[in-house]
Amino acid sequence: MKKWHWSLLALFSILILAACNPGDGSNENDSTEDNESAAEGVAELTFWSYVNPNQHDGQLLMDMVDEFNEANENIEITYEYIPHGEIDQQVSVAVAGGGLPDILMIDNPDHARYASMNVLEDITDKVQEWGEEAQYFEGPWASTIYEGKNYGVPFTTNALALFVNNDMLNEKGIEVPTTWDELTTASQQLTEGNTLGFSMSAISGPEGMFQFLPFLLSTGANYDQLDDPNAYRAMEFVTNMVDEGYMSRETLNWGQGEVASQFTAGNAAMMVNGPWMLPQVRNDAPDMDFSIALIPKDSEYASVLGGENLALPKGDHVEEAWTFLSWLSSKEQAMRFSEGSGQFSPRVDVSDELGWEGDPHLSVFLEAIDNAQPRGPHPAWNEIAEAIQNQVHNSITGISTPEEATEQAHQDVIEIIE
Amino acid sequence: MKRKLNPGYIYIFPAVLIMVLLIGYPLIYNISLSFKDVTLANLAGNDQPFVGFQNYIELFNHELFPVALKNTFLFTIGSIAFQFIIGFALALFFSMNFKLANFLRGLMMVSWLVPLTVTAMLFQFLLSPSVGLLNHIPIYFGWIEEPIAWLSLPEYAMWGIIITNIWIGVPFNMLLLATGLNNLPKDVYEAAAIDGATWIQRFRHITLPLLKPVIMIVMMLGFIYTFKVFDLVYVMTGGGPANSTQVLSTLSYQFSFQNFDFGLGASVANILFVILLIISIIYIKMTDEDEVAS
Repeated sequence: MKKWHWSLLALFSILILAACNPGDGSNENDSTEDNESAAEGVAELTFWSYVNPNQHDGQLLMDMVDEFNEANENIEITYEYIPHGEIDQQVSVAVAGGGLPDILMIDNPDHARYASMNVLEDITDKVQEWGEEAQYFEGPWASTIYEGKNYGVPFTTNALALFVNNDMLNEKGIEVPTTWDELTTASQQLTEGNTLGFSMSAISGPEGMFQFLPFLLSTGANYDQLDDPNAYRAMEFVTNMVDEGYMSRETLNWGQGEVASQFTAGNAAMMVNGPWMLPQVRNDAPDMDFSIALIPKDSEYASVLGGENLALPKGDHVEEAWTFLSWLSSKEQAMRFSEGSGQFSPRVDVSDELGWEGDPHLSVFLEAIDNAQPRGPHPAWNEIAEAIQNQVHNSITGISTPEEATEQAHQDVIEIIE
Repeated sequence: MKRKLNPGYIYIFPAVLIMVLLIGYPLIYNISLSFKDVTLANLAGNDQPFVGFQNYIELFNHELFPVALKNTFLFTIGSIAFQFIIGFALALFFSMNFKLANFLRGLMMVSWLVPLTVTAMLFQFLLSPSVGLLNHIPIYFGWIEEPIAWLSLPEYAMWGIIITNIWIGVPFNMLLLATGLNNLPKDVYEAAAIDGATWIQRFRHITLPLLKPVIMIVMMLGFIYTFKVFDLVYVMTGGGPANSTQVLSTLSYQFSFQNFDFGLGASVANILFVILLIISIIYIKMTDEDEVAS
C-alpha cells in the first residue's frame, strides 16, 4: 500500500520535471532559444516598433524591413509591434528576464531616461564614422544625446499645431485666431449647443504635458523656469477655457486620440493636435474643410517637438543592428518612409527635397517644427510631466488657483531635478 | 510512538510545490525587491544595493501614499456596501423561484462576464456629461439641472468608478448569496411560519444567522477582489483628475513602470499585500470561532 503511494509521488515528480524542461516548451515565438540553432551565420534580430502594422505607415515600415532582409543575407530582422503605451512595461520585463530587442523605437522625451538607465548601447563612434549628423535638425538630434554621447538616431519628427474647422469659422465670419485673446473670443463665439469652441488633451502624465507645454513655452517660461512671473498665465488660460465652458471638462480624461474624435465629430471647432492625426481627420470627416494654424501665442509662438527615435539596446548583435539603423536612416530610405507615410523626416535634406512647403497643411507643421522645442531632455521627464500635469489638474478643477498651482509645480519640479 | 507519514501529504505535494513556485516565489522576490534600490539600470544584474527600509520611509513620506490609501479604502468599502445590499436584495428576489427566475439570474451574470476594460470604456460613455445616459436620465426627470462630469471632477471621479464597479460586482454577490439561500433548511422556516413569525422576523432571526458563513465569504472575497483594483481605474481615469482616483495599485504601477523605481513600486505592492493578509487572518479567526461555537 505504502509503496503504491510513493510510486505515485515519483510519477508526479517526473511529470513536473518534464513540464519544466525548457527544451519542451519552445515554440516559433521563442526567438532567443531558436537564435542559436538557426541557420549558421544568420544573425536574427528583433525590432520593437509602435508603428501599427495594420496601418499604412506600419505596413510600409514592414515592407522596408523585408527588403532589407532580402538584401542582407546574413541578417534577419523580425518586426514586432508593441503598442506605444506598453513599451515601458515590455522593456522592464525584457531587462529583468532577457529578450530585449536589438532595435528599439523610443518616443523622444523618453530617450534620455533609457540612456541614463544604462539600457542602450553608446553608438557615438559609429555615428561619427557615419558622418550624417549635419543632415539632421537640431532638436530631434539633441534628443538622442545623453551626457554628450549618442544613444540613437531620430526616425521621425513632428510638432503640435491648431486644427481649425473652416466651415464653422466661416459661418460665423471668424478669422483664424493667432493670440490667446483671439482664441478665447473665437471659442466663445463658436461654442453653441453640443459644439464647443476648443479642445486639447489635458490628461494626466506625459501625454497631457505634451499638450500643455506649448502654452507654457509661449509665456516665455519652461518646465524648469516655473518661477517665471508669467508662467501662471498658461495655467490660467487652460483653466479659464474650461471654466467658461469653451473646452469640455472631460478633457481631463481625454488623450489626443479622443480629442481628434471630438473634432471630426463636429463637437469641437478647433483643437491642438499633431500631424499624425491628419489621416484620421481626413478619413473620419472626409467632407470637412479644415486648415492648420500655429498654436495661438501669448508672447511668442511655441510648439513642442514630438517624434520617434531609434536606439540599439545592449546585446550581441549591435553591429548588425547598426547596419540596419544606418540603412533605414539613409537619405534614400528616410525619403521613402516620409513620402509614403506622410510623417516628417528629421533629415534636412529629405525635408528640403519633399517640397512640403507647398502643401497648405504640411507647410504649417513644418513651420511649427521649426519653432518647436524638445521636451527636456531630462532622464526624469516622466516624473516632471506627472508633477506639472497634476498641478494643471488642480488648477482646472479649482483645487488651487492658477498661481498656487504654478508655485507648487515649480517646487515639485525643483525637487525632482535636484 | 512511531509516527507514520500521513499519505494525504503525498497527494497534496504536487499542488504545494506548484503553489510555492508560482505564488511563493513572486511574493518573496517582491519583498526582497522592496528592500533594494532597483532601477532599470540594475534590474537584471546582481548589483542591487540593499537599502533597508529606505523605500518604505520614502513611501510613507510621499504625498500620494495617504491619498492612495484613503482612495483604496473608499473604493473598496463603497463598492462592497452597495454590491452586497443590491446583490442580497436580488438574491432574495430570485429565491422566490418564479417563472423566468433562472433565466433572469443567468442574464444578470453578463456584467460579470464582460471583460473589465470593455466595461470601463462603456461606463466612460455612460458617465460622460455630454452624451452619457447616466446624466441624461436624471436631467430628464429633473433630479439634477446640470450634467455631472463624473470622471472629470475630483469630488465625483471616485464615485464614477465605484458605480461602475457596483454594476460589475452585483451578480457575483447575488450568485453566492442565492446559492447560500437555497441550501438553508426549509423546516426551520416552516416551524417559524407556524409560530407566526413575520417576514422580517424570519429574515432577521433565521436567514441572517444561518447565512452568516456565506455572507462572510462573500464579503471577504469581495474585499480582496476589490482592494487590488487596477484595470478599472487605469482605463477610466488613470488615477486622475488631480490624483482623486489614485489607488495603491496604480501608484505602484506609476512608481515601477513610469518612473522605473522598482523598489518603491514593490514596497507599495507589499503594503497592499499586508493589508489583505491582515483581513484574511481576521476572517480565518472569525470562521474558526464560529466553528468552535456551533
